[in-house]
Amino acid sequence: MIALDVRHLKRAFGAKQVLNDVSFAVESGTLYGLIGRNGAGKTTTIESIVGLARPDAGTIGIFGKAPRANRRSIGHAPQEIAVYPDLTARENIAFFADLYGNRDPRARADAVLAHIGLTPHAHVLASVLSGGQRRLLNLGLALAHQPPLLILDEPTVGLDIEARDDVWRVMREARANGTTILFTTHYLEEADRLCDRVGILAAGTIVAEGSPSELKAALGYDTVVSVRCDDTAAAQELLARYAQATRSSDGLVHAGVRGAPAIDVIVEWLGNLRATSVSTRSVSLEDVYLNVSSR
Amino acid sequence: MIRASLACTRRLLLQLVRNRRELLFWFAFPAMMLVLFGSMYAAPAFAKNIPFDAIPPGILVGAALFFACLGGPATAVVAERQNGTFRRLLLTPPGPIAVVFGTLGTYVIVGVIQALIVYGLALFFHGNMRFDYRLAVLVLVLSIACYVAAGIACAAAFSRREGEILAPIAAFGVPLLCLSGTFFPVSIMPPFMQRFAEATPIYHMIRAMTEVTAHRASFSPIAGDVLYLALFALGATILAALSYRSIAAAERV
Repeated sequence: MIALDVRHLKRAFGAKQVLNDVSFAVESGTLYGLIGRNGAGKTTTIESIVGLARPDAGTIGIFGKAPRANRRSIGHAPQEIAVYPDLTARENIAFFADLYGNRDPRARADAVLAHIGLTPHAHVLASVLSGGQRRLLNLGLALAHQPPLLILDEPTVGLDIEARDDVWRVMREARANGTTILFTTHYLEEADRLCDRVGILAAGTIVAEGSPSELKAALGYDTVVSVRCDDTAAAQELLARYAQATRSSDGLVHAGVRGAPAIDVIVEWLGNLRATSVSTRSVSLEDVYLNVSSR
Repeated sequence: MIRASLACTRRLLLQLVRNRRELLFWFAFPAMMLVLFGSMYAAPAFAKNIPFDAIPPGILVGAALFFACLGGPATAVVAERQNGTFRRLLLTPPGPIAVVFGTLGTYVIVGVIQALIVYGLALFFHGNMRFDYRLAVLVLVLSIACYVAAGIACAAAFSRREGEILAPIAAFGVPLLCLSGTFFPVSIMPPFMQRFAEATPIYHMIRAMTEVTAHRASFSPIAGDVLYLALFALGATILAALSYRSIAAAERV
């Protein structure tokens, strides 16, 4: 079943076309990541879906209905933390549960606090919580009415590793409970780890879509060799003979190859290029992203 | 809708209780003003012209309700926009109207407490408390409705940040208070100013409250004031709802 169906979304701000025919669909019970650089249109897409932005064209279906007719199905956590600083964590969640008509808002708040791991801070004012705890609370408010569709805009931005892991755990548990999740991120490792499917947004449109493994497989190579040397142009030329794709950045030449190169080949490169280091790693979503966004 | 409005009222009251300094100001300010003006009007020069009973209505309507019930909602709306929760509220099923009524409910409670403080102190200073309480509550609630609605409309018209709202309220409001008989009787003003004063809602709030509490009037002498206030409250509430919708439209990019 399709939980979210976005078709031909367009939006311009003045002369700037931010969204230019964005289409994607999210299967029920899956975690979908929308990735793209800052300004790619991720937030505009999210806000169009939840009803905070007005698209110039296109349609949005949430469980087969228009967003306005299905407000209760959506839980939205905006990128900017939006909580009442002078209410406690529990009061914040209970207030929103109450607005959505929950019969026992306090009990619901307690359940959400347990889910997001903030029970020990239930009676702490939001203004006193740490940045990571406030972001968890921001997420908790989106969960207050048990929505089947959770839409999160950059839920881990600015978090330390522990707080980020907490947010990931909440997202994974929500998915395990059947909640559909759409979230935006520019952390590609995050999308790689969490997502069932990923859509890459560039120049206002989805330029690649699929599961992280499908997207990586479509590259045509599974290993990236990175060589550090003085003459990057020569290195790129040499590696191009072996590789499906090459690129250079910051004194490093990266080459996408099928299978890790044999040790004698690496030794040859080291010698020929007077390379100071050679390293290999499995292909990642970052390679996919750089590949499609540079087209 | 009712449930959502009550939720908003509870939340705003909780926030007010947490903000003790603001709360203290709202309750201490009218008390201070009453003591100040009470002492001033007790002086022989004033005393023969103005009985003490005439002072509390002006202090309640002008000094207490004006700042709490007009400034309070305006600041609350602006703060809501500033901390991002306004956009969150837009996505909830009850929508903005529940917030308008929730805000009204909160400030009716605040206004009633202020009225109890002012008239409690007035009683202490030999004021008269024998009047028709139902009429007084009617005038009080209508006055609060006018203020709350005007406050929300002000928030929409003038500002996006908390600090910006105080300047327009002070700039328009304080001269209006002076003109409407809050501090000095309208009868001592020049005729053209009196005519202007009669067109303002604050004048009718003070006049109706004075008639009810100081002159123990029945409904008939204040019928015109009540009608004026009811119409103003209705118009201002419609304006507030439209303003709230305009803020909502502005927040929807």
